[in-house]
Amino acid sequence: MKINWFCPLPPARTSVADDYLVGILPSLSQHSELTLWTDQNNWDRSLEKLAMVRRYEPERISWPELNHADVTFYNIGNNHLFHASIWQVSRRHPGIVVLHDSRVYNFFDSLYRGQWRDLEGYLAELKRYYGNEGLRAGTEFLSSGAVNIDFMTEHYPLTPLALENCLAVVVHTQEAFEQVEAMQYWPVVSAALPRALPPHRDGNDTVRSAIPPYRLIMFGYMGRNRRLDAVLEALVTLPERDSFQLDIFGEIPDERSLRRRIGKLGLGGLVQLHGYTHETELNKVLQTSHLAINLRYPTMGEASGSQLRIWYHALPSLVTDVGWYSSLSRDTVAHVRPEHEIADIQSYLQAFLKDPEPFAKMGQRGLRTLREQHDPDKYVQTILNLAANARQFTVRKSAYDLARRAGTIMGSWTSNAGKEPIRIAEKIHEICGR
Amino acid sequence: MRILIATVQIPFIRGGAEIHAEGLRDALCRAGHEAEILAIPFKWYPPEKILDHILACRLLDVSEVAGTRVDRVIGLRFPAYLIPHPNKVLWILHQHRTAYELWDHALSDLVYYPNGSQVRDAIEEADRKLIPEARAVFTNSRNVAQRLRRFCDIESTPLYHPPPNAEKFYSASAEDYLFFPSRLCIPKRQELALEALAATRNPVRLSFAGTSDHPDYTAKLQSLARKLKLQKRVEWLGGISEEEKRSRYASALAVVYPPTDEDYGYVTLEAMLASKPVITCRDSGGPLEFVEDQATGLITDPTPDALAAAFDFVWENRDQAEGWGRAGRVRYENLNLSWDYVIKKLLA
Amino acid sequence: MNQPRLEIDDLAAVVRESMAAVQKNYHAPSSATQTVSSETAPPKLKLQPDFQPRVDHRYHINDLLRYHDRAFVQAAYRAVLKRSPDEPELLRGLKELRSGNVNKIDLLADLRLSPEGRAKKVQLDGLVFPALIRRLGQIPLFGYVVRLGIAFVRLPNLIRDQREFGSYVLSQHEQIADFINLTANRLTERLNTLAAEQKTIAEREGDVEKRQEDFESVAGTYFDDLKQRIDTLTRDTAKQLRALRFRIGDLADPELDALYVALEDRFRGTREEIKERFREYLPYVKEKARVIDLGCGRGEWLELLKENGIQAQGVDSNGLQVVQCCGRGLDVTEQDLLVYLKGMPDESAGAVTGFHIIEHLSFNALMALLNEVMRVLRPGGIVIFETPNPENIVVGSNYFYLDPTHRHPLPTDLMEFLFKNRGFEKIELLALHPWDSGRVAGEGELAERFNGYFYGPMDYAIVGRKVSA
Repeated sequence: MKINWFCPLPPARTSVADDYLVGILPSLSQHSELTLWTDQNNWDRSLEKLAMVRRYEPERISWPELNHADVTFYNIGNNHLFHASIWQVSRRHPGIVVLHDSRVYNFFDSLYRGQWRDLEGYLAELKRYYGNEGLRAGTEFLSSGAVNIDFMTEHYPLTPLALENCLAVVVHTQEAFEQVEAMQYWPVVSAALPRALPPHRDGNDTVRSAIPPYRLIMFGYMGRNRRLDAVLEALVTLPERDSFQLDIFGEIPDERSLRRRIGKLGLGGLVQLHGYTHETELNKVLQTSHLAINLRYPTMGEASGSQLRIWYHALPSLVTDVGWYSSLSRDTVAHVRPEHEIADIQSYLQAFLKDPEPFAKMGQRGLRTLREQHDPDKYVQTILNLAANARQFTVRKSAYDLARRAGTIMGSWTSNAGKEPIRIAEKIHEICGR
Repeated sequence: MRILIATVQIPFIRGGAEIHAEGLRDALCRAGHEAEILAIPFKWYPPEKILDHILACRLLDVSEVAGTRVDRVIGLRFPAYLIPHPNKVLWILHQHRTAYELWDHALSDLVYYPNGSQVRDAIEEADRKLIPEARAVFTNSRNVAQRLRRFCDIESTPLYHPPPNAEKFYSASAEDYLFFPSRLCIPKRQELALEALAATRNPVRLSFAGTSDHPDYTAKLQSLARKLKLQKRVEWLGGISEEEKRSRYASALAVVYPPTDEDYGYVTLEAMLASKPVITCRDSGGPLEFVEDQATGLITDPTPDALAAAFDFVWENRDQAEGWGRAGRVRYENLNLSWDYVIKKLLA
Repeated sequence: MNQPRLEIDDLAAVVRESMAAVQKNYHAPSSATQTVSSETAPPKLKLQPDFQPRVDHRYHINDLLRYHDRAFVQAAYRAVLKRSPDEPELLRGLKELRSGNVNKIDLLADLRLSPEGRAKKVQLDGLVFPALIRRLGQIPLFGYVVRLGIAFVRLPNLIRDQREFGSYVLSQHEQIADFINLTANRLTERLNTLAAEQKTIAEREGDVEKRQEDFESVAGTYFDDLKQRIDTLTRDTAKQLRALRFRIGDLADPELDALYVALEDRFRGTREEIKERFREYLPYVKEKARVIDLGCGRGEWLELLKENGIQAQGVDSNGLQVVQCCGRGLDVTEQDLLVYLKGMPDESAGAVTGFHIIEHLSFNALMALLNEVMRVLRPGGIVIFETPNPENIVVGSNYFYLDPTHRHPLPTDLMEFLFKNRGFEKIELLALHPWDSGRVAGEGELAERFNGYFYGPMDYAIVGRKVSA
């Protein structure tokens, strides 16, 4: 089976490339004739041992090559730097979308407003999917800022725009699954986010010190939704704070003002900023950490690759009780309530100090969950099953396209639907149904 | 019987398919039936238009006209052969080739569109599901039947028909030229014939009859001839009348016809009617169903040298060529190619 | 999800949605022209909340029981059968409910137990018991007893329900009244706004008309002015163009001025010699003031005229010679001959002279010169041109070309012809400056002829008169 796979490739700084792709590539390339498509200028050459890599631009891509494969997969997420080109190609050549974030408002905001400066198009899409209400909210968001981006993400996630023209959808969380299914248009399947695990990994080979100061760790891109402020606040007012040390690894927007804040709060000795760090370095640090803080609020409907990495190192972690994280079992993570962030953080830290054992066990159970549920082979199997049924999806899509077309044509002269839609649907079913 | 012949037209362009449909209609009328050609316009680009046309055909109702029943529909071309009717018979000239055997071909257009594979899948689905609706499925040639089986798992029967005005073809003594009548376009491979001509050792002469859809192409061929220094040996007859064509057939030494994977090809049959040997190629498709190598003509590899060798052979062995020509005529008689037979099968 | 099935209902829904989407776009243009847009229209009155179908298709009957009447029927169909009721179904349901014979539980049970309801398998919690009771209550005779018992038991509830219902109705009425008042207020407001807007528009219209008038008058003035300017411009340009054309025939090169001075000094002769020669012309120009001397060169003639009290002006394009003349107190202008002449008014000169100038001019320029001279002369005016005599072979073949700016010799016959042609009368040809010192001695025809051809007059002058205007 020939498969086209559109995805950010290492060394792109996103977990979709580092964790996700690297995890499933061996199995995927073993069971199919795989071609990776990228618009990046450089990529890790070792990938080419496993698959052919082809470079493209959204305006210049070889359609015959794409058409010759059996099916095309598009990986779409919220970061417009890595997924903009992929989405643009997906709009023209139908394929199966792997949706890493189900709320993609940020993606389209950055793309339409930031990259393309096309405010008209932006508002037109909001109107198309959410009617006049969406248009109004969008206008307010753009002009007065009376409405903030969290509100827009919550109410107008623009998911259908990301899925425009797709054959079927793969998601990684139950929440995203329900969201897509409710739209009742595309076939959707849910598969747990995969994470590769070397064999014989049981977490006992970690070297964690047993005495304070205990190492707290946060890593990844430190956007607003990582709740950094709440963590700092919690530390400041925690009487036992000197038993802890917080390391932050990852790109920080506006690092200077953060440092200033840390200084002002008097946490200079406690908190260390490390900036973006390479894989191997980060892994080493994770080995020696005691507790990871992986808060996310609001959530974009994503399953966290970082969380899987945390479990990989058998680390206990604090997560926010929303979205996918809510669905995680209580004995593998510690849930923090979004409206009681500081209090909950503090109580967990104090509990850890009193008795770190339960927390260590939490980490172990996380590792086990990783092994059982997030096995890349299982995931690849799901993908391959979808690929094998690709023909059905394309035919189904043709049927829906025809239905839309018929509706558009009829709508141009009448608004009275009557029995016509059923009749047309029957005719289309004759042609495309099985 | 009241019979509708469902076919497709591309306005302003007329070719073999139109002649075929008219031939069928005339034959039906001669046999005492009421027959009419129902041609729907077809635009196949961009590819989503093809789906529109399929749906449009399915929405048509030709079961009766003005209160009187239509007894039979004979479907000839895609997507007209998808028009529903309780008493439908298909006599498929060809399917939508760019979705099938021409998918990978340099001449294909479908594969160059981003939604090309989606539409191809839908076409295949529609053909698979809806062709078997007909009470009988015939094809124009064995070639088409093989493709139908290979791509859609549908069994069909080849049904041949005579070329138009078959009875008017005659034979005369051979003069010093080979005859290549065909529309001037890439699939017919006039260019290959020119290259072969340049490689012959004898001063073989070749007459081309036919026009091109694109005037540039005619100019291109002529300049190729000049480049190969063949001006004196090549004749460009352009568009000639049917009578003139028959006379050219009659006096030719042999007929050259090496198209690429042709479905049927009247030229082969016309040559046989005129008792002339046919020079064709292994990948020419239709002609191979009728030409027997070294018995009624020559079948060569599609290379200039191989064709040149064939040209030289007939040039040097006139008697043998004549013999092959006559054998070809006999073969034609044995094929039982008549409209009566066709109608009998279609209306059974 | 393994094999996605293609459902006709789903496809039909897509068709309907697309139709609706097109319709929405269609209505948009017309609504935009209305001043009362849908955004500011009064809100619709909704006495009951909307029904939202659940994704998991599990309901409790209480979810549905809180709807009443039409809303209830629609909600029931949408929940249990996953579709809206069509007209006949809706009417039938309403009729049954309103008649009191059938209550909501019955309706729900009917729907759920229908073949379609069973196929859709929606889960309705809390339905079984009440439905059962209702069924029992419908058995003849026994059912009456059951119903009576039930009614008895439920009497306090019924009373409470009744009171509740009463207050519910009252509250609904309040709501309706409020709504109507609100709508009426908005309408009045809106009408007032419209009236005000209309007034403003009318005012603006008057404004605009007045402005337009003002504009038109101002514009008219501007245009007239522009027209005038354009006319003047065209005339000036034409004049310039003509001047230019003539100049092209005879381009003066200031650098050669100095050379020319040297040339003249070398070959022409001294001032004194020349001046003597000019005396011959004095009689012709007596009482013919003003005299215009074209190409006055070193100014010998002008000096002579001045000495004899005849008013004269000179013009020459050689800057150096002009400066020399001015230095001598002569009235000389540096200018091209033709331009100068053209600048003179009609009939403003008594005589025009040009000594050794016409052999410098192109034929066109010569003709133009003659025309201008004719124009500029007063009736009775006189024109004199002196030029080398080509009848003298030595002059014609050699000495003529000592001046590189000479074009070609001008035969006497030609000049006579041209003068006549241009309308000059009383034409005289003067043979001048014979080369006596070069004559060969001897008598006889040969010597005669030889001396005539080789040593005869070296220059000639042609005189013409303008007789009438």
